[in-house]
Amino acid sequence: MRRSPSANQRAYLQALAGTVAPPASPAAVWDRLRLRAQKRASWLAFLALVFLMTQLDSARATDIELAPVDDGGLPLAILGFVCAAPLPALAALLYGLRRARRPATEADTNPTLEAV
Amino acid sequence: MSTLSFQGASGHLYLRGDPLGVGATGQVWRAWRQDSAEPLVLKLFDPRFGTPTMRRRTAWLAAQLLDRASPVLHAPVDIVDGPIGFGHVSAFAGGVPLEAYLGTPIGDPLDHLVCAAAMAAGVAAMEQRGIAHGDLRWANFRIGKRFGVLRAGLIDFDTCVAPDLPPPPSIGQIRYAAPEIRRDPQPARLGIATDRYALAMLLRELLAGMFDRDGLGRNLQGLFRRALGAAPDARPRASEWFAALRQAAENVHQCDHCGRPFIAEASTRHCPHCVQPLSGLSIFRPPSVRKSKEQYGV
Repeated sequence: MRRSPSANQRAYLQALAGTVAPPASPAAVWDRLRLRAQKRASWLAFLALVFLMTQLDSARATDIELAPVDDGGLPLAILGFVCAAPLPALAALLYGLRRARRPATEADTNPTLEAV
Repeated sequence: MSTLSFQGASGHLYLRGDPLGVGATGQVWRAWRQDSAEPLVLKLFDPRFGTPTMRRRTAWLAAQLLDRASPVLHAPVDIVDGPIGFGHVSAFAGGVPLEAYLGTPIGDPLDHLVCAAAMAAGVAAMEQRGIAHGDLRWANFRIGKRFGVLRAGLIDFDTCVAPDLPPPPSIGQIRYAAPEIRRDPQPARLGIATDRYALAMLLRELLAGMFDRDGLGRNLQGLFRRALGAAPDARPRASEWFAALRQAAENVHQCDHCGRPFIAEASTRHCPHCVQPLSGLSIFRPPSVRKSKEQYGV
């Protein structure tokens, strides 16, 4: 038979949880990643630039025949690919930032804190 | 009851009531705030402990506002230094010492898990601020039941340890001293790692009366192994204890056959004592999954 905590016990544990930082929550992981990224922002920007340059070169060398127009410029499809490539990483970073902020907001607005 | 009015360093006025007891460093009295009648405890140090170091430590401790960090911490909130002597005022902690409680426990296994989680939460709140209590022992944990919940209160912060503070005057009780303190009993060696050891000892004493080794589950067993080992770096943080105990409180079972309590984990299919199959195995399955399986006749 399972013994479930009563409402008061749950409220007490919830109030205590608001005073204890979780040992290794995803929010803490994202916080650390964000801090590291901020610290090395210049290097990351430089590496991103190098990456984009290599993509442009290879696109010019190999995929010129895919171009819908023959004006000698960069094909539209390749340009779209290059621009869209960082989007998943950017989306993951934004998701992490939102997630990092969520627990503090929940703890601040928790109605059970006053009850204990 | 004779009362005496006195003023704290913050300017608040207090009333002193009956004596509560005499400790190694001074005497403890009941007290109240004069305006709100909030129950408090007044500790007046023996004059030989009124050293500049102790005054500095007490002032630093009161400035940390640890009582706001966690409902478990009953730390000093004001300093007293006047005609009645030198000491501090703390929030009153109801209940009885853990030692007395364990003599006649009134809680069930679930109560004890919740209380153990509270003890860990109090130590975790100090750990987060880089402070060690320095004298975690069963006399310094007060246990009481209020609104149907067994609650813990941590008292006596006079031997606390922090990087900004000079070492405390003593090392606390040897029963809860970590192996490195037993080898070299110096107050300067006290710290968060030795607090973690003492916390594990206290949790074991609280839980041992309700759960045997098999009933604790592998997660808590693993934490105890790490905490009571000789390697200080391997000891689990108090927040790990809190997370594990809180999760355990959600999964307490009492066997339908032998009646003994145990903590069920995701892989638990049988009572660890009598090896009878658990009733209600589906508790670990999310309700949505269970419903969809029923719908599809699985």
